[in-house]
Amino acid sequence: MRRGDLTSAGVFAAAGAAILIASLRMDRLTDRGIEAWSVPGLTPGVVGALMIVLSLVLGLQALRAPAQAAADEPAVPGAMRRAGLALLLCVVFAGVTLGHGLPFAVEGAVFIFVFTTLFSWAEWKAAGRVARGLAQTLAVAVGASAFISWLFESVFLVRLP
Amino acid sequence: MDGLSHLGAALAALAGPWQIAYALGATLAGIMIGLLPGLSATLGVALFTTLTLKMAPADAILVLICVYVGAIYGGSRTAILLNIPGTAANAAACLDGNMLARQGQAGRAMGIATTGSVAGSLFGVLCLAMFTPLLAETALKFGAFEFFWLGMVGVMMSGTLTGSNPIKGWLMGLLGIFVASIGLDPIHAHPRFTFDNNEISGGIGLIPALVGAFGFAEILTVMSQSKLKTMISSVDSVLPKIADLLRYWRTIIRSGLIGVFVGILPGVGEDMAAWSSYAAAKRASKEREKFGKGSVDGLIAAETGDNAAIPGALIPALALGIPGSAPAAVLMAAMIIHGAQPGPMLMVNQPQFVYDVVGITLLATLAILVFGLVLVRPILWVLRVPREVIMPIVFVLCVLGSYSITQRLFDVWVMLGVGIACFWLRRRGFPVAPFVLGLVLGDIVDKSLRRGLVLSDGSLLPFFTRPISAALAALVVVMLLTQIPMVRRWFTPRSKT
Repeated sequence: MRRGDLTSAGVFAAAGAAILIASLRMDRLTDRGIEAWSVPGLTPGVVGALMIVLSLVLGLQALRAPAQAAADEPAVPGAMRRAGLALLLCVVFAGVTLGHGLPFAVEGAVFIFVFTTLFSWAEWKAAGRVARGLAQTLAVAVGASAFISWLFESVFLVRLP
Repeated sequence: MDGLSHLGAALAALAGPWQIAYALGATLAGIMIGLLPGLSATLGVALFTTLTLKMAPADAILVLICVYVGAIYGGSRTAILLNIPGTAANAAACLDGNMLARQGQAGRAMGIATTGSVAGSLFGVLCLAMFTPLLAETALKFGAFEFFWLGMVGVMMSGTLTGSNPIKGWLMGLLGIFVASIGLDPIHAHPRFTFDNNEISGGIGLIPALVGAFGFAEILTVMSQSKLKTMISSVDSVLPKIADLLRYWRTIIRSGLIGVFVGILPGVGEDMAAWSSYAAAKRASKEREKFGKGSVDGLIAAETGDNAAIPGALIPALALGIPGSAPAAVLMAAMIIHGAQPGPMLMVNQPQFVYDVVGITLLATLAILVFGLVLVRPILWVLRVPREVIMPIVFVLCVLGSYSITQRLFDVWVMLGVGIACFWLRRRGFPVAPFVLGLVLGDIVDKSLRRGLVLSDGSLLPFFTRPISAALAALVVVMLLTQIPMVRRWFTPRSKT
């Protein structure tokens, strides 16, 4: 049994069911006298139904498949920890702090500096060049953020968040 | 004759100093994007779409096509030197390119890759100029029924060929069609799945979703991987030998044909073109044993195939409004943003535009030839920048790129949401390309299905009885049937025991 595929099939089946139910409950606009075959929920309803069918097929495949075929990608030690840290930093920057007062150039510089420092710290420490690494990263973070902000604000006339 | 005069006008317009500067700059940027593992051609085109919003439409399309061509070419460098494909399209080039590099022939391998890429691109450009008008003329006869099936064929073919399990590919395609349906319904302007939220009523923006799928998801994937190996630093002469070209002319033509054909198939893309060309070259070669051990034939086949697929992917995008690959899908969206309407009417309303694209692709091809032979060592310095520095800068660009189109933070959240979902799905073996195709083609599928049913008064018959519809429907049915184990066993020859 492939547990990962079974979980994915469950998620897709649930999503398909939710889409199908929402499509069936969608307004058919009969009061506007539109053709029954052009109701807004038709295509999403078909999509939801097909998702349920394909999820069931995927689920059956997962139940029949041998367990050793489960891994789609070879496991890399610490992969999820690194991805989790990157995800946390990106979500905090773009989803939480962005647009809440600080100029974009400052927020961008802080994000680049923190991201690079956290991911490079162990390597810098092992090589005995923490101070140099921090100084270089600060310069890159400030320079890159300032340039990107200038480019979007002054050249592309975007009002930065 | 009309075609030649349009092409002449396009080339004349591209001969200006600014156009040449844009082409060189954008191709160089594309090569650098392609060089960096994790940054794909799709992300490059998506990010540059946001950077070129304020440019004149002709210049913006010039920049985007040059980034596309440059990125697919640039990835071969990483494949040769690091044994890691810079973009998915260059995976086949790793096999022989890196082996040649290990044998002290990195320069020769890069020269061969450049030659193959240029030859493939030129072959594709020729096909683009010849077949786009023909296909567009044929497509003028298409109605809602045919467009529905074309959209479905695109999503299903992409799902079948881009992943290890077609069921997963199809689920991703359906997910894309569903996401495209969020917002105001295109026929009656009725809100769908908006939960009375004004932001969602505007729909899920294509560019923020693509930046999330190919940018943010890629950043998370790259950061979860181990550090890259040290690259091969000694580089011999990159000037290709004429003898190599003459000896492998059959491979170049065969791979060009395969590349263009695979490129035309909706949503399949450059990586499949490279693998198909490589496999065909291996079958035809008298030196099969050298494949995977540093075969020049194999490297030429892979690089000719993937670059020929670029113009190939543009043929259906321009003539039918059905993109042949994920980067072509983004490029098509950018064309729409800049006022072009890809599809059968393009040759009627804006015939010059098609030849402008032909001229631009030709210019981009010449630019990769120049950079490929002249700027080898300086370009390779990009590979020395650590991913820990590159990735946060790319993310800042992803954030501003998503935000800048409509200048609302909602698009940044869309980018984050799609990125996280695609990262999770990719780790579980779900390919992203069908999702993109679904997102791009969702509107066509939705409108064509409902219009077709209204025209036929609810009858499904015309979807299966009109000749082109029937052929496309048969293709979908075949794709479905081949996934049923019993049917597959029926067609598989039994070995005698």
